[in-house]
Formats: sequence, C-alpha cells, structure tokens
Amino acid sequence: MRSDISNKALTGLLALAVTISMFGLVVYLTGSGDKITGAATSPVALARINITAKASINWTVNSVDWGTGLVNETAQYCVLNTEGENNAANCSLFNTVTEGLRLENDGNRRVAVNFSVNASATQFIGGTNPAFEWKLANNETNACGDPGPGNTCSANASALQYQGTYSTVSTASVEICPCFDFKNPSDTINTELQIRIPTDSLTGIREATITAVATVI
Amino acid sequence: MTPVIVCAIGISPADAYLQFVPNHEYVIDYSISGYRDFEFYTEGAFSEFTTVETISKGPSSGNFRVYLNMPEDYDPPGKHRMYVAAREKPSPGAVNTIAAIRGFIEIDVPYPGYYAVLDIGVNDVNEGEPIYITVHVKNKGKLNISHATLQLSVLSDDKVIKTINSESFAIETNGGYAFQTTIPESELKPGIYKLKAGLFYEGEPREETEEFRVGTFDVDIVNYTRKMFNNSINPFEIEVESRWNNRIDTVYMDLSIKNGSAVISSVKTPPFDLIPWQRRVSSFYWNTAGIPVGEYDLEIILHYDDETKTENRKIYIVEPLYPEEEKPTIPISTVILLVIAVLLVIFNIYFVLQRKKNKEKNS
Repeated sequence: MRSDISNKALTGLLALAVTISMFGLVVYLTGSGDKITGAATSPVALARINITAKASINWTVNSVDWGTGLVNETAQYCVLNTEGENNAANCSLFNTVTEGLRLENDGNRRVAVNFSVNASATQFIGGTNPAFEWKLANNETNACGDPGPGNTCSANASALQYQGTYSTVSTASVEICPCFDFKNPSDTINTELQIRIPTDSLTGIREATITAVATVI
Repeated sequence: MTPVIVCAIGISPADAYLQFVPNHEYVIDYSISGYRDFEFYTEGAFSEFTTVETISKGPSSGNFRVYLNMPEDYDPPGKHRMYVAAREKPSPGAVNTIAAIRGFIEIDVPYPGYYAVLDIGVNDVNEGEPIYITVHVKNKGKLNISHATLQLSVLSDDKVIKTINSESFAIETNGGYAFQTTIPESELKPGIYKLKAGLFYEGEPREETEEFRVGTFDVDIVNYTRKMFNNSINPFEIEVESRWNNRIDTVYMDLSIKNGSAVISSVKTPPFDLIPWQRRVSSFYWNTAGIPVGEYDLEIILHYDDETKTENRKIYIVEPLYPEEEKPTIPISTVILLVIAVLLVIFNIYFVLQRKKNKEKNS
C-alpha cells in the first residue's frame, strides 16, 4: 500500500507545529499581545438577585401519643413522660414514648418564641393532684441565645427557659426563647412533656393544645 | 391520649419598614406557607388602619395583600410595630400543637415640630492614614429643616485640638443628609481621641460623641505577675495590648530574672497573634528552683512581627507560705488514765506501808 504522506512532508508539518507552539508560548509568557478569552462584549456586567426574608417554624417532631391506658388500682398515680417513663407498677396499657416535641426555625430570620397551652393539668387530666409539665433543651448547641447584632443570636446557654427539670406548663403565653437561631446546625429546640395521672382523673379523650408563636425580631 | 398533629408555618416578607406619611396608603403583599388550614391577621399598633385582601388561598398556603391607610395623625411619635401573622387552626377532637408566625411592619412616626437625630461614622486608623468621617443627619420631625450646620470637634484628653464646620444644609421631613470630611494623614499622633458632633438647626441642638484611635506599630506590657515563691513551680501571667490597627503576627516574650547583669533564670512564652487593639494574657509556669529570696530585675524582651523591644521591671521572690504545724496535744482520755494510774500507785504505797506498820505492831 502506497504511503499517504511522505516523510519530508511529515517533517515539515512537525516543524511548523513546533514553531506555532513556541510562538504561542512566548506570547503567553511575555504577556504581549491580546490574550484570547471568552470575553464579554460589554465591560460592565450586572448580576442582580432579590433574596426574600422568610420567617418560618416547624414542629419537626410533632406527635406525642401515650395511647389508651389506665392507672393501676394499687397505685396513686401513673407518671408518663417523653423520656421513657412508664412504670408498669403504676400504669397499664399506655405506650412508652421516648421522644419529645421538636421545634425548628426553618426560615432565614431569627425569631423570639412564646409557648402556651390551652389547658391546665386540672383541665387536661383532672383528679387529685394531677400534673402537666414541660422541660426544654437546645437540641442543637446555641439554638437559643440572646439577640446579637444584625440577624444573629449570640450564645447564651441559659437564654432558653424551663431547662433542666420539669415545670408546670403555662396557660398564659410565656417567652421561652428570646432569640431562636435559623442557621444550621443550631436551629432546633426539644420540648419534653410529662403528665401525672391520678386514679381519680377524668376519663375519655382528653384534649390539650400547645401553641408556639414565633415573632420576627 | 390522642396524638399531637404536625404543624409548620412561614411568612414572607418577614419584615418591612415604613415612614409615617399622613393619609398615605401602603400596600404590601404577603405569602403564607404551611401544612394545614390557617388564619391570616394583623395585630398591634396601626392594625386598626389595615384591611386584608385575599389574593389566593389554598388548604395550606395563600397570598394576601395588606392595605395600610395611614391616619391624619398618630401619637406617640417614634417607631411602632404592627404584626402581620398567620396561625394554624387546630384540628378538632385531637391534642394539637399549633404553630403561629408573626412578621412585622415597623412604622416610624415623626416627632412634632423640629426633631433631628445624628449618627457618627469614624473608624480606627494607623498613623499615616487619613481619617474618614461621615455624619448622618436625619429629620424625624414633622417640619422641614431649612438651615442646619454641623460642628465637629476632635478631642484629646478632653481638649479640643481640631474643629471642622459644615456648610449650611436643609433636610425635608423624613429626609436625611450625610456630611463627609477627612482628617489628613499625619495630622493626628497615635492615641485615643473623641469626635464630638454638634448639630445646630431650628430645633433643639443635638450632640453625639464617638471614640476613635490612631494606631502605632507597638505592643504594650499591661500587667504581669510580680511575686513568685522560691524553689517551686509558679503560675506566671503577663498581659500585653496591641496599639496597632492591624493584626500583629507572632508575638512572644523572653523573660529573664536578673541579679545585676547576671541572668539567674529565664523563660520564653509561647507565641501568639494579636488582632487589632487586642489585649491578651500569656500564661505559663516558671520554675524558681535555686533562686534565693529577694528583689530582682525582670527583663522582658518583647518580640512582635520583626520588631523587638526591651523593658525592665521588678519581681519579688518570696518564701512559700507553709501551713502551720499542729502542736501535739494530749487527749483528755489519756490525762484521766494517767491521773487514775498515779492515784493507784499512791494507794498501793499507802496500803503497803500500812500493812508493814500493822505487822510490826503485831510482832
């Protein structure tokens, strides 16, 4: 088979390619001449974006269900909470709950949060010495703090109210957090619940509503 | 018990800022997103002047238009917040959690007559840099200001060292004016200054003061441990402060206890960086084994960036404070036993002598 291109022609093409490459390299290194790029035809470019401020809260864990049950005849009370408390010696047939409510600030603005319930322990459970209590905790470090400069919350572990031990819920609106942060991973608060049901409690379906009101600050 | 139902709700925009204009109508559109049915409402100051139009509303979201018709007048003046809110409706027959969200509209109501406020903007600099000053004046009164002037005074140790006067200017109600000036480089020596701005106009004169600093590339020794115990390992602290308006890298100190020109003991602190004007304490331990009690010179060689400076201070090496040794005491029970033993010995001697006497008598 006859060769398509002679060795001489191949050498010439090679020399031409090397020369062009060397010229390009020299131009690049010395910076002389215009560099060819994908340049814009206009010297000024404008990028505009309008980011909307949105305030939003979300009960990401929103269900507490102790089911149906009763207080044992031999016991005075049955205590149930969202941390697994469900003593079989006192309580019968109730579900054991191991997770409390969880509130997330899923907007892009810090907010102050108020809590209230629509029923006291007497109204919700009834009987002799009933209890309806909550206990709050930062599910993520620094979720609740003090208002800082701009749209920030400054760290203050004690800013969140009702921490550490169970306290009686409030039927009046109470500020539980002055600055609830929206930045991940510091934007969730846990609310554990505890109830004490006496033997002479009210029976049937009992209703209580926990309201979280978030106000932009 | 019945379950708690899911709830989440959001409002956009979260906030709005308006100037009070008599009889003016503002229109703001809101978007609500949630997971279940909700109610949209306004509350707080000015809410009685609003009407809400529902643009669209689905089972869990909606768009609303809030019309705010400003009244002829509003008292008191100042900033007021009206809340624009959405609250989920509880599900019937269940134990619910409800989420409610409140955005706000802040309305700035002007003060009667002439009322201006001012705000000073001045930053720390380093020596050799110009000092840029901006003073913002805002007319928060109901009347237009037609003739205002600013007088800026630079104070050092409460003495006025420089004065700058503005031209006369006018500001309409709700309007603003920004006065900008520059103090040339090298006019002020390094140090701490106050900038006082006085506003003179038809109303009550206003005055604001702001502090600023002119930096020099230096680090000062602010405090240090002056006393250590001999023949022991002592905690030692030395506090330094940057006088520079930029970061200073690699600050450390060589410390030497000297008796005349002879170095008795020396240590080097760990290196650290200083942010502008930062005060920082360097802590370490100093072993004083073999250093006799007495007063010594403490030589501090301070290294910062490529600079070095030496300072001589005093340090005292003292005896450690040992707890007092307890004097041995004889327990009361031992004393009683000793008394009984002595009495027994006396009785025994008495009885032996008495027996001997009786024997002699009988014989």
